[in-house]
Amino acid sequence: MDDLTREFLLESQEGLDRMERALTDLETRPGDAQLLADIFRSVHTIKGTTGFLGFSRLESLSHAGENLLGLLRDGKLAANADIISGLLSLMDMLRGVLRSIETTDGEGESEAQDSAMIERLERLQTGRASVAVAVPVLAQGAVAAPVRPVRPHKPRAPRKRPSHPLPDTPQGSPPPGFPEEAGPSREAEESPREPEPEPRPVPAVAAPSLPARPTSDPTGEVQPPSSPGTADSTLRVDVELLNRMMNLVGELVLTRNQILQTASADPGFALLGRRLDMVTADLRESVMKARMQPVSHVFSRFPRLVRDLALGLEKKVRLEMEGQETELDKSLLEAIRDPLTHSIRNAVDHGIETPAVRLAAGKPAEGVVRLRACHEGSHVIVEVHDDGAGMSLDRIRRKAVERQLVTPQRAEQMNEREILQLIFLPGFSTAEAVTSVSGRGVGMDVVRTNVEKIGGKVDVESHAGKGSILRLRIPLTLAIIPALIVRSRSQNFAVPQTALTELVHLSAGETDSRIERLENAALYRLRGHLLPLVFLDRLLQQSPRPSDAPCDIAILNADGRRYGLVVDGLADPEEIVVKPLAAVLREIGYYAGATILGNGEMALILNPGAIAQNANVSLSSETEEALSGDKNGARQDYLLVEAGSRRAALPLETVVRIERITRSRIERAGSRPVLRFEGALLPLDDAAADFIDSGDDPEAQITVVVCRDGRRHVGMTVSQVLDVTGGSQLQEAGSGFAAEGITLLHEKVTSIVSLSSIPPLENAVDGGPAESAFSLEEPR
Amino acid sequence: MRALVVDDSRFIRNYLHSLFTQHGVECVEAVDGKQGLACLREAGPFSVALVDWNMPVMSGYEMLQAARADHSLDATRIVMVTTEAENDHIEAALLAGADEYIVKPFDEGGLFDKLRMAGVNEL
Amino acid sequence: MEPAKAPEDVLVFENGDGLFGLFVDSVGEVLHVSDTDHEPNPATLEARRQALFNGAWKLKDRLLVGLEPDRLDPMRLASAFRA
Repeated sequence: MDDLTREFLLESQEGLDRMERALTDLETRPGDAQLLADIFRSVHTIKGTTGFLGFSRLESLSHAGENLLGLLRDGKLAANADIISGLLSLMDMLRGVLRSIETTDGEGESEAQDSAMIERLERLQTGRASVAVAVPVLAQGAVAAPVRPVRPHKPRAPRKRPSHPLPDTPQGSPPPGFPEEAGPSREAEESPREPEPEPRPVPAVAAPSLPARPTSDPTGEVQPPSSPGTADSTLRVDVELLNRMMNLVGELVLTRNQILQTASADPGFALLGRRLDMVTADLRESVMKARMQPVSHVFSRFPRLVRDLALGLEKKVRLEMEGQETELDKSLLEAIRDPLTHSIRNAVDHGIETPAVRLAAGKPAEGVVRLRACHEGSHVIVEVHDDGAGMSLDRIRRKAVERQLVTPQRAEQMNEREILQLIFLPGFSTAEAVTSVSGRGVGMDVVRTNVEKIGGKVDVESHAGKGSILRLRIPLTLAIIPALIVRSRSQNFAVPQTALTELVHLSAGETDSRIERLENAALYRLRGHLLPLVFLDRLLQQSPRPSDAPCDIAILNADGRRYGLVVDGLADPEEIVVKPLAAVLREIGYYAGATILGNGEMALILNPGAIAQNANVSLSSETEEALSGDKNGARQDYLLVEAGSRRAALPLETVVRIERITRSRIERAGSRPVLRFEGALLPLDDAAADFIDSGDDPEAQITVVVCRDGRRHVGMTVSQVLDVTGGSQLQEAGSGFAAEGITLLHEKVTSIVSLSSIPPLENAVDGGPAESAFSLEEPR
Repeated sequence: MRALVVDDSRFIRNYLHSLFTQHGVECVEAVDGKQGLACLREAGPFSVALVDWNMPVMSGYEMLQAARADHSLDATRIVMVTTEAENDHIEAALLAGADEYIVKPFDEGGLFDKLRMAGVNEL
Repeated sequence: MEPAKAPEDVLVFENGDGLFGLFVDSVGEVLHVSDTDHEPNPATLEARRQALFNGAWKLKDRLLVGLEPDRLDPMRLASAFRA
């Protein structure tokens, strides 16, 4: 295929993508002149260029579309659901032909289909919508009336146009030879006529949405990929070349790592090393940027999807999209296409209720699916939010038990979060709720597997009656990942940080006693719960380690499988460049790739998911539940801090943020130590007063944990933050009453800081509502 | 010789670009009428501008009108590129000061014939 | 947990249909265990034991395998191992 044809295909596809978005928008804004002009132009451009390449099928199809669109653009015809459906079908057909050109270099032949489509579009021009709908698009020969043969070539001579087609006065049945050239306006373009302000009542199925409702414009803010103005300053680059560049940058990163680890006494060398470090980081970022594409590339197909789904299910659904400009590595973007599509199908199919149900529940008949993308550190978050009924915990529980994914007893004990996790189990969403829309066999487990395959995470939230949120967390790039380097029998292995949750070290004396066994299954008691262990040396059939040797356990969570990987030792975490594996290594199945470490040694990158599967670590939520959950709500997470010389616990849910400040920032308001913080005064604990009076270095740093106490915020000065950990409630011997103010952290009884013991600020503080930023409802 | 191509279609721009450069004509491209006008004023002089009719932001007709209102651009021949659907506009375009028009699709011979008819003599 | 060749003790259970016995090497002690210390079978346990064990109790310094009389019922065992 020559370059021009390729260019034509690309441009036409982009044009159709834009058209698709605009068409779905048109449904809510049927008279929008700008939209109509855009849609017209997409088809017009295709038609204008096909002639150069001699694609006659495309030409006659786009010609018919152009005619209809011309009427719409000039306000001679008002858009309705039939017309939009017709145009969408046309678009699908055009896409089909483009695909055929792409794969076979030819347009393919389907004269009957083409004629039916052209006939349909012509009928739509007459405004006789009901007739048009009755014409099956793809039915071959279903149209009884003799159909004008498709012209193989575009006649050059300008044709006569009929008098105005009359949209409002339905004509008798159109004669077979109804003038095909209901051409676009004769008005010069500089004076586009206002479209007739008569959005006609559309047929019942059309889900007329209320144009008055403020909607975030789903497409408005996004420039189409070929946006005017950038053409001259941009360049198309083969993705292969970008991949190669990324590889080379990877090599450079490795070399840099090695150079930085090379000790040298020469001070100049260190300086050069730092500069190399900076330049490499910059270069890497630039190349990564070159591989980025806005998520709109994937989002753009969804308005159509939602529209078609909603029509099929007789629901009213509006799709709102946010953050379409958010960029993601091209390969990752491709990878989330299917999971996202599935999630949106789910939201429309299972999330949003039928209009009747919604009205009965006091909600607007039209449901909203919101698709949102944004950056969060080195990740992109994509959320699919629906304002439907939320997920029924009972139904999930029942279904999971029915499918034997969990025992009835276990299911009873699960808390809400754990129950929601069940939907990600394989086999959960296969049979029952299969509608023609959600399809068969693809469940949320596939969504999770696909997302985790690219180092991402999936999370779900649901509120009864209010809807659900599915959240995908996707890394920005795949080529360079942070990893922990572990050693097993003096070999290096890299464990991707995304799978790593925590590390446990067992010293020589401890290994035997702390690693427990249930027959042949090795287990570790992590915070009181049993975690299956996998010994890397045994898995890889290395020479076995003495059973009492010290070891480290890397606690991993791979695709929902939690286990501890037992290794000989740990090295520093490193940013590693993922290199593909030779086939012979790939076949072993435990490795995700290979890399070269900073010290020049090679390391295989472990695939935590594959290892878990091989070791039979269950995907069932039971292990997860055992580790993260609690049965009676008695467990809570705490921030473990050192204050003064004592250890103390702050309930994690109250912690707002942790601030490092210089001592001199602590001031006195009345008799209380306070901190000016985000424009308001933050009351501090008593001990903070010591920092004001002490003669120590006023520039010394101290840590303040900002906590929520009821409706106000207070600050706790601590000497250091030690850990975040789960505590179990202690019971009084005999009575069984829960002990207050203390908890068991790391097997030590630890007192819980009482935030309410920090008194409120005195009202006399000058400057009015000093606490206003923090206490909205407290009386002054 | 220098030519300006104003078209929102990448395909058309590339096509014209390759035809022109094969003939040793330097080719500058713009994606809409507004950019085209800016090019005429700032990146000129051009012997000829090929201007598409239907473009976003500023249509070819609007660009033509603006260009002809600016007499510093009189030396540039303006050839409107249209499709058959726009035949009705041709007269308006010629009245507004276009030197020639050419209907898509066209080939190399057709293009250069039209350019000569428009009075582009450097070919 | 291998069945002993010369059993010295037999634990006798009663189910709906009658009695059945379990041969053991010896009986150690009687312990009181709490449900809060119980965990289901780890998935890494091999299949045959999965069928026999009913999880474990986490004692202070060791694990105590749970044998649920129901699961040891000869009729059930037969079906469990067929499956």
